Amino acid sequence: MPDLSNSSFIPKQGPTKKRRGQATRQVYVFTIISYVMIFSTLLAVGGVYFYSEYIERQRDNEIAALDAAINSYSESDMQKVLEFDHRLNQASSRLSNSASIVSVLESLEDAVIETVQIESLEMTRQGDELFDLSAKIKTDSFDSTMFQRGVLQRGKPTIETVVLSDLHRQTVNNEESATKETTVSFLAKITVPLSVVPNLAGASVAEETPQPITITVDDSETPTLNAVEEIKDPGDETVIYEATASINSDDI
Amino acid sequence: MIPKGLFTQIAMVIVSVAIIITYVKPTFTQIGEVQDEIGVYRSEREDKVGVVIDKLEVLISKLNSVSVEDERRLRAYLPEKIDDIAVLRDLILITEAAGVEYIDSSYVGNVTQDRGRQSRGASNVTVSESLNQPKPHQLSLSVEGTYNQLKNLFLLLEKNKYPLEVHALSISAKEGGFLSATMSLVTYEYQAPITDNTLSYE
Repeated sequence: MPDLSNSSFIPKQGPTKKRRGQATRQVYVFTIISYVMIFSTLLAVGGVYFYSEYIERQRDNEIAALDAAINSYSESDMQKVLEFDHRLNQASSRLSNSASIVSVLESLEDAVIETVQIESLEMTRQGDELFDLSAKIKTDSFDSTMFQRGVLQRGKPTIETVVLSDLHRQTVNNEESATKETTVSFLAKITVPLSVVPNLAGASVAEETPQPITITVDDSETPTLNAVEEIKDPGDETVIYEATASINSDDI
Repeated sequence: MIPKGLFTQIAMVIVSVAIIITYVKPTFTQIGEVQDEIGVYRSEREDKVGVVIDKLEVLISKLNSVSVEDERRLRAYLPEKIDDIAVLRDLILITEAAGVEYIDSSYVGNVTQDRGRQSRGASNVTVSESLNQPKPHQLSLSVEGTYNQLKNLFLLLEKNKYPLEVHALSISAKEGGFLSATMSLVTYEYQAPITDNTLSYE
């Protein structure tokens, strides 16, 4: 029997091994994106979770520190400071508005001429602003009156304003000397600002003893405010009157 | 036919976006708020509470540095309450020290707090312009003496350990070279502020 296997005109291929081609794996951009997204998301979740825990702990610590700081505030200490502060301010306010009557009287002494007599003096303090003085003055002539007015008007800044009123001229018979005496009386209203009145208390404390003052005299027997005398030493009893000049208002 | 892997990748993207929207973004917002709160608490602690406490400590140390003697003088200058008997006794001692003849003295009373000026009795007494001023008390004193004795009296009144302000004075001539003086004196007592919880720092 003929071999039919070779009768075909189609060439036969020998039993050679078919070489298998290498498999190529295709990686798509979308695949990369999706993986990157999922892993970064998971990473972000973890990071955010731990960071939020950390930040909340930090907030709790801050709250605790704030509470501790608030609790360390002492209300009683603050009240003590405030009380001292107010007391010091009030004392300072009175000290700064204190005015010496002695200074006012000495200013008046400087402004009074020799030929006049002050018969009476009224003085009123108007708040912490000024002293209103009303002096009943007697002199011998209108010339003296005009001269006195000029001296008072030139007494600035101590004497702020001067107003003379109730001017009277009287002639009286002096029986002893058998002569006629002429007197001119008037009322002088003077204002003295407190700001220009120095307080002598502090200076006097340093001096220990007041200095004697001599003032020009009027010969008249009528008591006047400018009579001659020396200020006496206050003596040992002044121990109880201590000055407060050492209070330091700048401390607080 | 769509491969199975593509579905998985799409699902991963969707899940990622969902996680970001539902957890990561709100948590970030929350973290921002917490950080703001931390900033507020920290500034409160450091800038406000801390400053107050530091100032208070400084003030307390200053307060403690004031000597006992100065504090005693301050309290004597502005006492909690006016002891009218003690003040009148002091007035008599002052008149004796000045060498004037004591005639009369009396405690008129405390002047009602009011804004501006207020008159009581014969004299105008200035009262505190503000509520945070010391409370004034008025006294009257009548003496006789020479001019320089009166000046000495005023000098001693000014040197007193508490204020004795002359708010009204009337001097008239008497016989024998003497002068008669009637005066209205004002002294003060400490008055705690009515409503003031603030402390000014300069």
